Amino acid sequence: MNLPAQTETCKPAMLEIIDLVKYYPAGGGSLSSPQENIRAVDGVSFFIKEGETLGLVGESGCGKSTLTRVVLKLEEPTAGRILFEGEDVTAWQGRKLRELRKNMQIIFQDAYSSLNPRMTVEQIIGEPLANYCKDTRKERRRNVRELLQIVGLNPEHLQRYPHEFSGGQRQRIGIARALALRPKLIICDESIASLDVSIQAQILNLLKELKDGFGLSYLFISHDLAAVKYISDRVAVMYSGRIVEVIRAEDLTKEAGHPYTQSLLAAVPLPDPGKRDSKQAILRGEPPNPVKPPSGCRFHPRCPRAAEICKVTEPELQAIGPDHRAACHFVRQKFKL
Amino acid sequence: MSKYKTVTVISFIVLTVMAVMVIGAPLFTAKDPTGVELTKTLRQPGQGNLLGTDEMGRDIWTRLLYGGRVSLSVGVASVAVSTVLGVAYGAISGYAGGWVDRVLMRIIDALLCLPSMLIMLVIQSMTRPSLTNVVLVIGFTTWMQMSRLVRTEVLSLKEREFVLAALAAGTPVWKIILRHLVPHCSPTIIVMATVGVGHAILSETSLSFLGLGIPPHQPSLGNMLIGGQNQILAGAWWIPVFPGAMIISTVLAITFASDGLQHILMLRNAGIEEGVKKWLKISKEAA
Repeated sequence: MNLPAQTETCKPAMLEIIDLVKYYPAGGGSLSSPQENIRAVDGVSFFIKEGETLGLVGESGCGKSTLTRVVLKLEEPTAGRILFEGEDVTAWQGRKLRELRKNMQIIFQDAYSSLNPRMTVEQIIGEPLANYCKDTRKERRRNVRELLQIVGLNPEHLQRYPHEFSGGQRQRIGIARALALRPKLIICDESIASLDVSIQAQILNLLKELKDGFGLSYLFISHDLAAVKYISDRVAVMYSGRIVEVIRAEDLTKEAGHPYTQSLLAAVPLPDPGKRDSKQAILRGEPPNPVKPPSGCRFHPRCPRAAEICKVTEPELQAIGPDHRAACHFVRQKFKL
Repeated sequence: MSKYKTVTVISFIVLTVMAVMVIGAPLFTAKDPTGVELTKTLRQPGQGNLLGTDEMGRDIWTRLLYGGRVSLSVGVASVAVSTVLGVAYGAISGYAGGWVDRVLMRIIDALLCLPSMLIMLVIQSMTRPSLTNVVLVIGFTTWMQMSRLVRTEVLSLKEREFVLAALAAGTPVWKIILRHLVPHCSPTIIVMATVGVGHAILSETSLSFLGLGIPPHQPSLGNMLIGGQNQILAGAWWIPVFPGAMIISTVLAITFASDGLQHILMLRNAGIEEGVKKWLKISKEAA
């Protein structure tokens, strides 16, 4: 599990995360009480191949956003390694980090707070260009216009401020900014969560078009299973700072092995509630406390299938099929392996 | 509410009038502020001298205009010094966070413990009094409050997503501070700076009154006051009263103006322009 994953062509993956850990101090640490940590990300490993979209789902507070910040190196990981195109970038600083940032960009959840309200669209989208390209003002303006056109905005709106745009348009500005440096990987951190459903579909389609047009890879983070299924090639499910299942998107509905994935699927509203599988229990209880996660399998207090072993031993991610791994003691039983 | 607006408008008018008179001083008087006329000492207001003359026969009105010029420019210049210093220090401290922030803030705490007037006196008594020295001394002893406020704002601003986005877009830290963080603190900075001008004028007058500020031959509001104190008993009330009134009205106007500014800027949603528009609308409705 600690070996770098090899894709079929033996090419290193675009992005690979190995046992990534991020703790935040949460009080304690004096003589009388031991140091306590919020275990936001607690040993996460995954990889993204070139041109692939990995969906990452999980409920609020499971560590998705922390993961993006650590992967982008906006925050230092507590432990673990980040490989980009086979190179260990975990300790990169200064000039090398600058070069890395050119290849990895992010689209945030809330397009409004991710755009500086005091800057015009030209300044916002031109900022990454100004940081890396020594072009003239005229050239930059031409580039920004082109980017606006690519994301489906009117190139005449260069001098407008973010508050003059609708939510969907603002998200397009955010996409244009992420695209400006022609990165290889874009992390979408709940990029459609704050939009209307109809706008969500437009943005999803735009992201798909851009992926084909520019040969991008995405790490697509969301709690909307339908959207994740639509855009992703593979889906990783996160629970309490850990990955509990990785599965091909087309298998998600039928083959999900981990009880948590199943309960997430069961929570998706159906057009006909009568057709709901009554055996699939809707998830109860609260998400675990990230300071003191449950012993053994972190999902056991909420799991309908929990047994004694779940309270004691933490299950490892185990391969069930091609591109399918799950961390559950009973998953092999289920698939009769 | 409307009473409040009236006060603000009046203070802005007072300040504008004063600024115009002080900057265009030669237009409002033909006399020389340092011109001694020993035949015309201690003249009452009226007779050829609008506000009378002092014990050396210098025209009070002329000295008031030129003295106001010195005092106001000391106020503005020293606030410029303290603002640049305070904003830079606060922004760096807030952005760096962690132990850097803690050390920098403890230094400020230590500096705030010392009474600034005392430091000013010590430094001024060691150096030769001059306009530049007064500006620098006031500037370097009054930047701490500004830097604390900016630091607090930066501390919360740096977690905002647009700052993270800029960081991810490869923007260097100094550019993030200058282009993203400081502009967002501008309401606080503007209000603090305005209040600071009033304080700086008071500090200048106190220093000059104690003989450690502007050199005595140059007119300044503080110098005029100290010149007047010996003559009050002789009945020459006009020597201290006019500069005194000028100090009080300037500082009051600045204080009220900054209060009003704060309200305007707190009303804003999308920027200062928006806030001013809203404020004008409210005052129109009130009127």
